[in-house]
Formats: sequence, C-alpha cells, structure tokens
Amino acid sequence: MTSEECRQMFLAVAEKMVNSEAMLTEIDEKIGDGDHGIGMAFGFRNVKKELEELEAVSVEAVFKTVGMTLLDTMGGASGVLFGTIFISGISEREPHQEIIVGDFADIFRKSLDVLKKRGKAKPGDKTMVDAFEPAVISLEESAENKETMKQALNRAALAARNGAEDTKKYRARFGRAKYFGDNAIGYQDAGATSIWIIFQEMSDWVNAHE
Amino acid sequence: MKRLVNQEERMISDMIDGYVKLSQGKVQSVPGVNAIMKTNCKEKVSVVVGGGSGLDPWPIGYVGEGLADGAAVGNVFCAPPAKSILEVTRNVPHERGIVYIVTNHAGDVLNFELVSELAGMEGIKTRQIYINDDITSAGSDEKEERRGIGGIAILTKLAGAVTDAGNSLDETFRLLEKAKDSIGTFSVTTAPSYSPVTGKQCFALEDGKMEYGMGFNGETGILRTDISTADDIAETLMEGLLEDLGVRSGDRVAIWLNGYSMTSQIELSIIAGRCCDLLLEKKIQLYDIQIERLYVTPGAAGLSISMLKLDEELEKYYNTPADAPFFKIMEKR
Repeated sequence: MTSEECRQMFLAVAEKMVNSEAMLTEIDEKIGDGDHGIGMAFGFRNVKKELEELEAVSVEAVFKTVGMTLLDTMGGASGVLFGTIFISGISEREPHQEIIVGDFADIFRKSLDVLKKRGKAKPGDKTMVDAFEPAVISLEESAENKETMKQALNRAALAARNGAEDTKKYRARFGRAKYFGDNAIGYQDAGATSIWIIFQEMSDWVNAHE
Repeated sequence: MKRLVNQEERMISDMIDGYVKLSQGKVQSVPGVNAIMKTNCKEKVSVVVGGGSGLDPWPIGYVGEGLADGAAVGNVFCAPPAKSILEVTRNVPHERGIVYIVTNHAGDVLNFELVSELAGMEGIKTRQIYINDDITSAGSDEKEERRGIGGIAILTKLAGAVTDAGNSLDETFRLLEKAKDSIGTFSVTTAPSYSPVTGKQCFALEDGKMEYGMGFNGETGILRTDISTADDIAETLMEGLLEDLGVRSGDRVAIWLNGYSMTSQIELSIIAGRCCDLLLEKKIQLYDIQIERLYVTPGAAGLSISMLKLDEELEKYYNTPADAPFFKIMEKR
C-alpha cells in the first residue's frame, strides 16, 4: 500500500467515525459518560480536514497527522489514547513511501505497548485494549503467514469486532462504568467499539480498492 | 432545553471571550487554544490548573489573585487536550517551574502526564498534584482510585499562597501534597443537573430522594435514601469527613460548604449551623467556614462539604485572600 493509498484509507476511516456518532453515543450512554461519540466525531472531523490537505510524503506522515490531530483537538482520555494509537508506533521510524502487513503489525504493536502503559489498562478491563490487542496479534500472525493486505486487514477487523463483543462479559475498571460494578456486564465498551470501527473501515476500504 | 448559548461548537471559546471581558483586564486568553492566564503574572513557581468545563466555575474561574496563574479549559465534562495545557505552560512564567493542580480523573491525568513529559523536553520543570478528595468514590485502602472534586478549590487557593510566598518548586510540591492528603470532600445530591451542551437532564433522581457520594455525571454513589433533615445531612457529611481524615478532639479544621446551584442560602445556612455545633460538641476547633459555589453543575441541588485538617504550616498559607470574578475568599473570618 502506498502512502497516498494509506492517506485515502484513513480519510475513509475519518468519515466513518464521524458518521458513527449516534451509534457510539447510544452505546456510551448505557454505562459511560455518553460523550464518546461526540468526542470521536469531533476529533475525526478535524482529521478529515487535515488529511484532505495533506500531501502524503510518507506513511509515517499520514499516521502522524491522524494522531497529532486527535491529540491536539479532542481532549479527554480518548484524545490521548486514540492519539497514542497513531503516534507511538511511528515516532522512531524512518519515513517510508509504502506500508506492508508487517509494518502495520510493528507500528500497532508498539502503539499497543505504549497504550497499555499510559492508560494502565489490561485485557479484560473493558477498554479499547480489548479490541486493539486481538487486532494487533492477528496482524502479527498475518505477517508471519505472509498473508495479503486484504486478508490481513479482514482478519484484524474480525478480531477487533470479536474483542469489542467480548467487552460485554467484563466489569469495568475505569470511568463511569466502573461504578456500575456487575451491572456493567452485558454492555459493550464504547472505546473498544471505536477500535473495531477503525479496523473495519480499513478492511472495507482495502476490499473496495483492490 | 434550558441552556443559553449562541452556537454549540463555539460555547467554550465564547465563554472565554466573555470571561476575559468580565475580568476587566485581569486575565487574558492564551492564543490558539481554549485557555486563559493572568495578565500580571509574577516571576515565581506558576500554578496551572485545567479540566473540563461544566463544574462552575472550575477551571476558568480559578485563575486570579492568590489563585492559579493559568488554566487550560476543556469542553464540557471533557479534559482539555494536551496542546492547550502545553500552550499555557509555555506562556506563563516557567523559569522557576510549574505546579499543575488537577482533579484525579483519567482524562485529566493522561493529558497532564503527557504535557509534563513534553514540557520536560523543552527544559521546563513541572510537578503534578492530582487531588483525590472524594471520600466516597473508593475506600481508604485505595485512595489513589478516588475522584477529585470540590476540594480542588481549597487546594488551588493554597497553591496560590504557597507560590506567592516564593517557595521553590520542590517545597511547593511538598506542601501541596501534604495539603492534598489533608483535604476530604463528601457530597449529597438531591436533584439532577442538566448538561450545558444538550440542555437535557444528565441523569435521573426521583423526587423526594437523595444520594450520598453521587458523581457529577450520575455515577452511582454510596447510598440513595429519602430526603431527610438538614441536621441529619450535616451530621452524616461531617461524621464521614472527620472519620476519613482522622480528626480528633483538639484538632483544627476549615470547612467549605459548596452549595449546588439549586440549593438556597437558607438551606445552606441551616446546615452550616449544625456543622459548627457538631464540631463544638466534639471539641474540634473550627478555624474557618465558607459557603461558596465553587464546583457545581447547572441545575443540580444538594451540596458537598470539603474539610481541610490544618496544622501550623498549612494555616500560614490558608489565611490569605483570593480574588477572581467568581472566586472571592477574604481572609479568615
């Protein structure tokens, strides 16, 4: 995938996130603050604006634009955590004009490690980590098995979706949901849902642009 | 729909604009971000606060004489982005370092931790204090999990006094950490708030009921019960605070009654009276008592009481005036 294709793919992700505001709000209202959808839509509306004007000189520049825009405009825990997903994996990389499956695995693995450290969340805490970690593991397996970009992103999206689904089984350790105790069981985490939406749109974009 | 705004997406920047004018030249906005700072900042350790809007007048109203030097102002109930905090950090005097005064909420902690790292890379020394004064939000064995609420008002005022006195960053941090551990807050909510963004009620609380320790976004508290008498509420809140802070007869405390927006001065005065009597009965010295609205959501009824256990060192810094449009505390009455 070229850096320009990567830009177009994340542009589609940004549009998808903006259009998911109502759905995320509905999920978050059950056990969260109810503002996750608003925050994500706000952040990705800015990402869309920035990406539309960006000359995709490198894959890293695309990731950085997405991450820094989220970090600078969103606020809240989500601004830092979703910004981390796009920034921490590329912060020490040389610029590349192309990205392959193994690069996605490397970048997101590094982001995941920083995310877990920064957010202090473990798998099973009913957070975005529950969707992100399975997607990263899936990408690593795909890289090892030399799968195509399409195969890899399809699998990663499925893993993120299952991970997001699984958050229904957990009690929460963070945010408003924590105060629900056992009553949080049965409800899906909004942050994990956003991770799924990101990977799903990446996968959908590749399927449509093969 | 009760809110009064022009355009939703401009409500925070419009608020800052209005507030700067209201201050009559005492504060200015920080260019490019939603933040303000004092116009006459001194060369000292600067105090920077920040948080989501909607808990009036926090954080915008905490900048002033004897208070903070700058504030990063987040959207309603949403921590400010790191960029806003970093811009305040760069704009206030920072040669002697900066102390961040923040409530213990995930979003705030994440952004301030990140900014501390970024500021460090620019050669600016910072220390962070995360107040966790809500005694009902976690047990005394897991205090670091507790939320920060109205006690931030007392802590910000102490921070202003400690830094105005010329203390170094390390000494400021030591004093304020000690102050932080000497502050507790206990709340009761009798009617729900509305969101200034949507104008809709934030959560449900049936008429005739009240809830102790309820969070500002309706997070479940420790007890929901029928509304009782003012004396009973005063006793419950005070007993809880005295126990949590380990206050014994002979000790000295200052108490701040933070009345929510729909609770009248009549009701608060009755409660304050019982608080004073209770301390007298227990032979605990009442050093000071204040009734102010310093951390309230629109439309909510009830109150929180914040208690500061004093020693000689803290007393010295407590007894100073603070002045901002919505935050005027004279010296000890």
